[in-house]
Amino acid sequence: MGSGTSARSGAHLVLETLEREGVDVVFGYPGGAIMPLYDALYGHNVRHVLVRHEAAAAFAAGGYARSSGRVGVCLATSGPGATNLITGILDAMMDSVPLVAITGQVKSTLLGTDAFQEADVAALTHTITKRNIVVRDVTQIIPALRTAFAVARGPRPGPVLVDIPSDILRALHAPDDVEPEPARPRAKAPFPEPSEIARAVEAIANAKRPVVIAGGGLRWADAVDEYRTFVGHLGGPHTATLLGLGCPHPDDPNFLGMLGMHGWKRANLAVADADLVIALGMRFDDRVTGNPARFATNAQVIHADVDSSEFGKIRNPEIALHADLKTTLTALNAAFADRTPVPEHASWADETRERGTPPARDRACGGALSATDVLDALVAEMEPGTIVATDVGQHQMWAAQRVRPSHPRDFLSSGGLGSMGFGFPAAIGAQFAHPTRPVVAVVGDGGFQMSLPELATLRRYGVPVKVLLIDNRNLGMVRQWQQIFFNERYSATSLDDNPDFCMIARAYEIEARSVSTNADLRGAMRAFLQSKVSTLLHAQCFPLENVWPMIPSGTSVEESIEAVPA
Amino acid sequence: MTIEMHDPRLLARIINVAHRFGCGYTKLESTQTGGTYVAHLDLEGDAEALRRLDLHIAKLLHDDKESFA
Repeated sequence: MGSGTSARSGAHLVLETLEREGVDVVFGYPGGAIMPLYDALYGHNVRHVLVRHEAAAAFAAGGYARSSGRVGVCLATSGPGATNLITGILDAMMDSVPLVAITGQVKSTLLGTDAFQEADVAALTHTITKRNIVVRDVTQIIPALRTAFAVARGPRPGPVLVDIPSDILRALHAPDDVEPEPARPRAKAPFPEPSEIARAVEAIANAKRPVVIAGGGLRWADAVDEYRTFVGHLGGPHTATLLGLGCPHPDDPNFLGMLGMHGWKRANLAVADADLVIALGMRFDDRVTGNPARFATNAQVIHADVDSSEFGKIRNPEIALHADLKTTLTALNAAFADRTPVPEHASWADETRERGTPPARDRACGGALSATDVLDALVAEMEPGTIVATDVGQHQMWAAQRVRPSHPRDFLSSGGLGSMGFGFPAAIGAQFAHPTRPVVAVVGDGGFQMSLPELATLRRYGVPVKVLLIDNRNLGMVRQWQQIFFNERYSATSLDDNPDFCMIARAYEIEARSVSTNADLRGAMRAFLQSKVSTLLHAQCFPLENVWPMIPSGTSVEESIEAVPA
Repeated sequence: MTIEMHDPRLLARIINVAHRFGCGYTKLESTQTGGTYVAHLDLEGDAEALRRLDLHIAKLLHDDKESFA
């Protein structure tokens, strides 16, 4: 035992450290091994939000982090509690989300004995965390958690798991440090090499058809302003990945919309014809590139990223800028501040803007409600600054094509992992981070049923999350692929036995309304968004609507389709 | 290759990743010195897979270094 302070339990030291790290809310679910921590939470300043499944705790913490830029924290007990966190931890790893997961563990003396609710969660999460730590001694709790927060923050953020046996949570310790220590700073990001910046400037100045691609890394580098200044200097067209949406200003006429499989055709065409691609904080995901051998074949690539392992993983860049994106863009902006804009960049931007139409609506809906019309109504009626969290599937892509976020933290989506069940709890997490801002969860009928119990979380805390349910009585994206690529053999995608979602919401005392006609859509949307409480809008949509355009997996924009092939 | 790490579990992870990339190893030796581990690995496999594996190992070692900074 140290000296200078009174002895506290390991559980209390956990909470003290969370407070020092600026944590105001944690999302979790109790159980046997983590009971000492829940006992310490009783009446504590750190607010605990009880979700109804541990998976929702990880997704809610992810939504909190994605919308705020702060580290999200989730708690679970050992064994099944910990394993239920795994999808959300991997989601955070894939999208570089700062997350700290704290799990209870069986007593130290029982480790490795197949004790009740024992799981080797360190081994299970080894490949899906930046780091995981099994705390072996109560004196290690504070340093372990401080390391966890520092590593989670970056330079490239990600998840860290801290596993604490229950006896360590109960053990007493009096740390030596009487005064709270400052939070451990995040590791320093590398600075850009001046010679590489000079090469990049020269390549940009010499390019006739440059295209910038904004990726999710800009969000975590807090480089949105620098990005907008940069594309202003460039004067050429730019596009964004799913996670880069919100980096381009939505009113920028040179912004071509989202790139990739279901992106705007003009964005994909621009990249295909570019002579220079400036890739910022993006990783050439297959949903963006299609066949990488046929992606931007005429272009040199400048790739800027804080993680050097991304260089050449999919595409070898001619110029690699290994540095923090904020400092990289600041350096580029300084270089371009005194330069005259290249005239060809503006004419190229004009050319790209005119190519291709906006994402086509599927007009096969007859008189039924179109999901795209529902999302257009949402975009038309929602307040500026609304945070939109999507689930995964067709509605996600329709939303990404239409929602015009003014900041990447205003549009939350499970990009890399594409995890159904993400949207609703992520919206709850975002609402806790932003109690006064409107938050809308856009979900499908498949994913919503993976997270239905969180209606209880809405009810308990009275958080005014709005849930827009796009119900097409199908696992729509899979159904679309079956229609196009599997000879219309619809295997296990029909949800024609869906429950009465409004009745379920009302059972949780959540306000609910349904809409099934275009005539009622605007009024229903307005009432939904103007509600001051948690509410569900159940949009009963045409079941066979497809997402267009679509670049079939592994192909390129030349194979883009905008209707079911005959 | 010779790698230096703080968390010896990285070796298991590297072997797993090598297997995922269709690569294997013909030699693996590791020794502990103070708080670090030095390992010698001989990896084999397709050239492109080995190139990607190198990138992945570099990232793992970077995270290890960042964690123990």
